[in-house]
Amino acid sequence: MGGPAVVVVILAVLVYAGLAITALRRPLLARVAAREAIRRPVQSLVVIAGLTIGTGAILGPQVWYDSITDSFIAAANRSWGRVDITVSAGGTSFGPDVAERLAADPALRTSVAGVQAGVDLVGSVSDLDQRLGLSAVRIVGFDPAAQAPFGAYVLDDGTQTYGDGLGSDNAILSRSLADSIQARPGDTVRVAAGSRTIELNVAGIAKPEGPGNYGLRPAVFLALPAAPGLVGSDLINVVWITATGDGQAESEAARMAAPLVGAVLAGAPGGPALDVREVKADEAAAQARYQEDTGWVFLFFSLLVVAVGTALVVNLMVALAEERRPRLAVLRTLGLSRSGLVRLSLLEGAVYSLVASPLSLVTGGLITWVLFAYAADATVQGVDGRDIVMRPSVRTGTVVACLALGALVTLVTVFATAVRTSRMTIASAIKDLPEPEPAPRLSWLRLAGLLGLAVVGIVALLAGDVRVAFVGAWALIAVASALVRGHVPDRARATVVGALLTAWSVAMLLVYGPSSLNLDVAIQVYFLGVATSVFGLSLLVAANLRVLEELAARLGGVSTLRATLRPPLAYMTRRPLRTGLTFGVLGMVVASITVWTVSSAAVNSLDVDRDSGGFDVEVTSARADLVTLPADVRIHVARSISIPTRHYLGRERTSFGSGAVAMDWHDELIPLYELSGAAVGSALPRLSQRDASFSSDADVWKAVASDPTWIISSWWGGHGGKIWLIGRNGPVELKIAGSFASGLLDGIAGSREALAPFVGFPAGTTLLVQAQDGTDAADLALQVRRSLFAEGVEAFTTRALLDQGAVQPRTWGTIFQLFSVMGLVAGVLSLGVLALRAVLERRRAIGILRALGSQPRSVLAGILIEATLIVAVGVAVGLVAGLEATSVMLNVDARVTPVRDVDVAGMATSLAMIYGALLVVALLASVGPAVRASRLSPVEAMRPVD
Amino acid sequence: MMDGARSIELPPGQPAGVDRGLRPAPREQVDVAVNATRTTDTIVQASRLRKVYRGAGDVEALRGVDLVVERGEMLALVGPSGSGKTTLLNCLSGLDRFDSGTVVVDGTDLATMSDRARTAYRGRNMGFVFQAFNLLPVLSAVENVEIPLLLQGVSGREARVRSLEMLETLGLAHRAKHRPDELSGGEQQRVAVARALVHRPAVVWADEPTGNLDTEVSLVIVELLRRMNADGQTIVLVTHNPQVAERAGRVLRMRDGRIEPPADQLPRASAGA
Repeated sequence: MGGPAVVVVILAVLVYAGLAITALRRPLLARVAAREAIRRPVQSLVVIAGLTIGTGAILGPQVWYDSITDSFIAAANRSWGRVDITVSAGGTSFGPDVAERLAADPALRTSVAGVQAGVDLVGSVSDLDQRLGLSAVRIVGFDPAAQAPFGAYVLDDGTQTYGDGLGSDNAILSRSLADSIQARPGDTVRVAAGSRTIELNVAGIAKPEGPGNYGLRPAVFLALPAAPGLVGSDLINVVWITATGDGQAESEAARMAAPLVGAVLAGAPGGPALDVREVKADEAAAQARYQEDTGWVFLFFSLLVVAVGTALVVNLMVALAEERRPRLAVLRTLGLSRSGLVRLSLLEGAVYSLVASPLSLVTGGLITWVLFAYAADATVQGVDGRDIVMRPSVRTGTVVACLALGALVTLVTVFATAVRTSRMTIASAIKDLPEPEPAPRLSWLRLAGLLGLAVVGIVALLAGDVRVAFVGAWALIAVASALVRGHVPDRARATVVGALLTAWSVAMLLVYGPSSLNLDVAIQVYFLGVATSVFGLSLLVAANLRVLEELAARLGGVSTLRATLRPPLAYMTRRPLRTGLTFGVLGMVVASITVWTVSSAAVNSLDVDRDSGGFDVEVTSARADLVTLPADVRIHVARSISIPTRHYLGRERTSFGSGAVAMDWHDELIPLYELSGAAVGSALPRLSQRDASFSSDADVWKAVASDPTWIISSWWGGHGGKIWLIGRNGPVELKIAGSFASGLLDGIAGSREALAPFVGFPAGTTLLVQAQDGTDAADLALQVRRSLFAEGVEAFTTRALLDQGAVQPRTWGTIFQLFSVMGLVAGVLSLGVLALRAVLERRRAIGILRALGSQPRSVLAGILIEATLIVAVGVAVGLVAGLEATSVMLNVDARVTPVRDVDVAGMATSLAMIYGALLVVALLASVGPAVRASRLSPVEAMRPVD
Repeated sequence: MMDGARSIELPPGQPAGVDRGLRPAPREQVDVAVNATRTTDTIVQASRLRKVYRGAGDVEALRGVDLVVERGEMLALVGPSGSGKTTLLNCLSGLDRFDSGTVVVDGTDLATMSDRARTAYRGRNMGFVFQAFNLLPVLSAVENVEIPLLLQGVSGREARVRSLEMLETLGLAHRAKHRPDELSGGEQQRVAVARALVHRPAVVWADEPTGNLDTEVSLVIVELLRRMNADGQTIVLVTHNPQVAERAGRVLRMRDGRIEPPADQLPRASAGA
């Protein structure tokens, strides 16, 4: 549990302890609170259901986030098996005596359980019997004599082996490699690294556990005696060290051992040049930090759901407060102080919250389950090509913190509502009359507060940070609104405030959006803009609903309709702020759905022709010599480009445009594509992202060709993003000029000079092939793979690669849409609650209408019309705000990513279906309360005691 | 009608009592002497009281009202709707704020008190009876009566004993555990009276206490208030009902936010039985 979570839990405990003391010291308040809570079971159930959804909405996404974090950290740990420390020389070879020296050193005995010399390469493997090959395979040469401390390979048939019998002729394949090339025990495989090749017999297929998981990629494990055939000498390129103990003890032992290993090597010939790393701990820490740094996006989206859930709670609490206002006024009359009234409300809220907390585990679990069901597999697919398994991770700390946060949100809401209620004019409240208009007087204290807020707003506006400026303008608009209160009609005031907020958001998006190509800032500005637009528009519409009321009043010939429409419209127009908030909450969810639907369609739609640059097949080989296509394949090829490719296997670090580290140093296998002048000159695939420093793809290519610090990367961190790799002479910083569409030329592409520091890594080749017209790309890829299997060549259609590359963004889109849908569910429930609240608040009014001759169906229609109106305005506001923001941002994005052809009709249809369903569900949610209202007996409704 | 002594006349044909425990005495027995010792001790004094309701057009509900209420007095405020009776009662009792003027209750100026102090003062020194009874529906009769005592910090045990005693006095002991929705209108109002008196307040304020009751039950409630007044309880009530008003020791007529000069036909009667 992090610092903020601890604070939240402590706060919740303190608040509840305080309330418990209050209940003990003021039994009357406790009694009234408890009785109020149980007086209307259905109403209480609705309140508890609302709180349960709200708290579940906080809990579910956080459990999901923990699951992602823990799964990636677990994957990092699994990928290293029992290896805690490595000694290497940046990919170059050194003598095996280093391992012997370390194994023999007595200083390491207490913290080191095993030392092993090894070879870790990247190459290709072909199954000569199955006639299938795969490139970019990890080739792991290990020492069977030293394997025991690192664990045994568990083969598919259940046997365990340290590799003693492998000799120089046999190998074990990882499960994923065997699956890729359909290999079976007994097959002959050809293993190639660079220009060297050996053939081995498949002794077994290792299960993905223990050392069989090493690297979490397709791998072939061979005994060290077979390695010279690939390395060309008896030299090794890595020493693996495992620490004593298990779990935490192992980590601690590794932490102790690493400096000792360094000290031992420092005194050995050639030792100082070797790099000693705590690989497992470093990678787990890098993963944890990455998840932590990018977690705000998650939090942001879960906050949308939380906000809607909170709005639901606010609605419920305001409804309760409205209903209880006359009774609370009686207590005030009898001597209950304002603080006593607030405490009474808090006690009641605490009762609901206490009941809702354990139930939230169910809703939170359900939300997590939905996220797993829709997105778990896809989330880990294509993550660096590793076999990562998503597992649910329920941390007690997270659960406690989320429940505490839910309780605090509830109590804060109750507190705010109760403080507002406690300011009642007792004489009016006791007769259930509206609050009298306050005198337009501004106390010195209030004036000072407003001036302070204005100063803060101006400072924020001038601070230079677009996000802070956004909020600064809110403050200034709020101050201006407060200052004219009482001097300007409320309707005009709300209209101006709504218009100002909307105009401000559009201006900010237009002015700052295009210049803030820093990805994380752009996203935050984007959402601030949407939120501001939604609430501005909502207020604008709510303040001017009177237009509809006037229209209804002019329905002279249809007096029944007029009588039906008038009451709900009157209630909505008399309370513009409350109505505006209701529109706003729904509008925010609708805007979110609109944003994701439209931007996903525009950005994530697959445009193979555009993204592939016309190439149909990508062929990869782990051999340095050019891939020579057989004549019967060549006749189907219109053009091709051969790109020399090295497989970097080492440490990587990435940063966002803001300079923040995205993923700290960790081990990675990255293809490096060497772009010659000819390759750049020919039509390479177009870029999908481009740094803001460049106005065209041509500028990017020019920079990449002339400046070795610029490269093209499949990882995109926004304007100014960077990557660091370890070259011959240490870390090399590379600036990301652009990015191909995800999936194509996955890795780093740069000039020969840019990639010069990495010439020590094994060389291979990538061939991009454009098929002749009329040739099926999939057939061509299969033909290439079949004909060149012996060289370990693999060939995929660019469509398949782009499809695979699109999985992750699509999955994130799905997750965010899921959040939006959850928000929608909470929003629809809010409508049901609003309808219920309308019935509670207007019980007497309904009774009077019924007594005056209003038919039950008119009462029913009135409440349903109100729900329909709320949905209609919410959808309209959300749609306008969502489209406005999306349009602005897509135009910004168009400078980087040309907007693809979007299926406007399809998108409009799906949006129409979503909103149609929303309307139907909202009506269904309102039917219950509406029927209840229509069945109210006039006499019962007007009774002073219910 | 005799000066200084009046009798409560029940409507013809009505049974002498309608609620158990507070059976109105036969006519000959309810003659009440009202010319008992009149105290000169002022308990409420309002000077130039002004109150404006703001809105589309401001409404001046009280236009400089001066008023004195003496300890042990039973004062009725009458007048047409909108004349400012309830507003005056709310301002005098500290339920509502006023724009200018002073209200001094038992030596304490309400205008200078904070909301907190005024609330505490109200809880200790005032009792209220409303037209709509305003009992808390979630609490039983005895629990409703206990509220003022518990809010003053009286122990739960003592509060229960005193509340039951008060209900017993008003003939409602057998309904003590019933909730308001299980009581008749008259019973609810008697519970409200019990709640107003249980903490022995300096003044009881009653706003149309019989407004929601039929004539017979109204008389029972008024009789009850008279009995309390006879025991020395200061009572200020607002009413439209002349039958109720004429049973008060003094009647003041309001019109357009002002108190009219005392009319000759409404003699000023001494408080107390």
